[in-house]
Amino acid sequence: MAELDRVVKPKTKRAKRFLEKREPKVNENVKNAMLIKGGNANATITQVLRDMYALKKPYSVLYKKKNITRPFEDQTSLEFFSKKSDCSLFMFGSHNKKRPNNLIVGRMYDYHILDMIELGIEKFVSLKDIKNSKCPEGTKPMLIFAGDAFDISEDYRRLKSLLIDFFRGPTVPNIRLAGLEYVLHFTAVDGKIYFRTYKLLLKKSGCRTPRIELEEMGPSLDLIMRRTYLASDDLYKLSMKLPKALKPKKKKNISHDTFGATYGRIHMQKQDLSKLQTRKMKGLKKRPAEKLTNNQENKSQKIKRRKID
Amino acid sequence: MLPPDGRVPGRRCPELPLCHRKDNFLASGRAYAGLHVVPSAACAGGCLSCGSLRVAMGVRSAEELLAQAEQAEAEKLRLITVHKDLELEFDLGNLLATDRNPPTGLRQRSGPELEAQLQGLARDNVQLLINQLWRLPTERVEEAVVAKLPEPSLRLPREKPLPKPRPLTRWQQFAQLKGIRPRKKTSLVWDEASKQWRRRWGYQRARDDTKEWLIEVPGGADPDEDQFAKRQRAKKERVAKNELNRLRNIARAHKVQLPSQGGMHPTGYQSRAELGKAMQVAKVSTASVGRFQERLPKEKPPRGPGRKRRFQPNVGDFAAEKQSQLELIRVMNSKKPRMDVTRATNKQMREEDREEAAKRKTARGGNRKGHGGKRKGRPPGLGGKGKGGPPGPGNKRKGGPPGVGGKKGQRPGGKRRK
Repeated sequence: MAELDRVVKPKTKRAKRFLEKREPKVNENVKNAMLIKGGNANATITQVLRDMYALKKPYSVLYKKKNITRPFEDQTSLEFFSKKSDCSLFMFGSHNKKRPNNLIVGRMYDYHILDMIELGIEKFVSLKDIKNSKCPEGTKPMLIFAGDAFDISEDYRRLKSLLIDFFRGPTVPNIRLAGLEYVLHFTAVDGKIYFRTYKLLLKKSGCRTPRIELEEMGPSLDLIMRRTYLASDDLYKLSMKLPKALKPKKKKNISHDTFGATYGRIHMQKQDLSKLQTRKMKGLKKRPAEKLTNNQENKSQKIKRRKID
Repeated sequence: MLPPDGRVPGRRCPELPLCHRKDNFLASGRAYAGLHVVPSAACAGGCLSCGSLRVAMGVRSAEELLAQAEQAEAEKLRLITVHKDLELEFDLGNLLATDRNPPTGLRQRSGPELEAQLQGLARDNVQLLINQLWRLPTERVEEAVVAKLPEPSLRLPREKPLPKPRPLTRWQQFAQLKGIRPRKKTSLVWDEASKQWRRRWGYQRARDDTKEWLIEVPGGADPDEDQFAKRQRAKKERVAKNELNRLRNIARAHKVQLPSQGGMHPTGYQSRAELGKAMQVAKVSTASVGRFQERLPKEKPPRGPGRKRRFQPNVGDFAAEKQSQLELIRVMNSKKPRMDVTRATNKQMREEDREEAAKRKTARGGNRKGHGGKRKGRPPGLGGKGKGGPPGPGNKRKGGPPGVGGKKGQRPGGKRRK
């Protein structure tokens, strides 16, 4: 453990737990997000950050004060915040004449900025403006990305990966089927990205799977992509590296071809083909008379051999 | 025992695939000529109550029945089927679905129409995702139906680098070499004094040395020695040793040098100072801490790390102190300068040597340049203010006056005199 490798060891169990929580692990913790206001954030941006905080509770931190920094010029203050609060995702909101209603979404690797994408908010409808029932906080959302634009350019692909990372929530082995409450739907059309949140209503259908009806619930945003700051390929590759323990184990004697067919190898001992068990066909069965002659032949052969010996 | 008509429940007749009666089978497995039940249109699944036995009519009615069955199924699934040009890609571990179909219906629309379109698209996509999720294996956990999710297939970047394996400590390396494995100890130990099970170490431990109020003086020990203090000191030493070993392990792991080792490592290319220090340390590293080590003929005793200035104790020999103070005052009062003969002669000799050297240099320099602005050949004895002569009282400088000891041609401030 890294905290035992420190020159100054932690003196209390609480300090030890604190350090253990923050050290690098094979299976990582859920990523925390920090929501920061810039020096000139307006009411829209503030409300956007508040809504995002509500969506991402309890894995997020909302900073109340304004922080006068420019993430695209100077990343040190964001990295400092990330180190202090142990958050690897962030959203930075600001507003000026050149970039109105600006939202920068980003993630960190090893407390340094990995990717940052600047999005402009064209239209925003807040959680409290839509007078429908909401879902409890902490539920895992379903994510849907529609539109072929998410595969076309590298920017969009990274944006998709970033949004999944941001809104994913904890990875769970089981999920209660009645607990699937809401869905985040991202559509990329005409250079715009429509972010909508719907609450799920399960209706009866004739069979086991329910019919889905949607009700608009939460924040809805119309976004356009502005600037991007993407990590270099090797840094991205480094961040995607899997630890050895999690790599899928290779099974021996099994191979796959390009069409998806699986081939297996079986190693057999040498077989006596005359004694092979095949389908019994009654017509080919040996009659008792033949059996007798066979026996006699064998006997005579044996006698011959003995005589020769 | 077979029922009289040869029927055994539960098996289907293998010969005629259209025979829906599941109980209509024969022990021998052969067709029961002519008496297969083909269900009428009313009872689609084949019912026992409807006793309508019809002889197999032909292929046409069978097809009709199949089509009807399919229609019924489709009716049931109508509510949950969605047609898409391109299939969605699912990552159920992340509850994620990706729709690659180009959103043709959405272009050039705005306002409430767009919202309705988006909602429709979302509904379709969510329906497909839910269909997939409902196909997962489920189990019941405390009155809730729970689906088992597969591992997330989409790989996302980590937030921290991979953990590095810790290097083994010195003891761990040794244990690995020897094949020593840690012995499992019981967590609780029986404590005789308090007649209960107590933990092995920590708060309220079983055999607590510190709580003893009586320590017997061991056989060979000094009776005046404080045994409690001795125990405390021993404990402090053990703690310090443990801490030292821990830091050494860390230093070895990070390949960093401990400051206490003082840079002593045999490389073969060490400086004179390093060798000297190593030699000193080696001298002291004997059982008697260097007391009986021989020295070379002209070697001076090492300075040692102790105090360099030693003062007389405050309360000592008052008479001697009085004498030395009076002597000091007498010397300060006297007009005659005190002179240390050897020092004076040494100083004079040094000055003469310097003069010679300076003359030689100016002779060479003068040949090259002629008259220069600066006169380097100034005899350093002149100039200055009375600093060139024999040292005055209380002058304890080793060299000459700074005008002599410093660079040639420099004067200790003041005007230049030619």
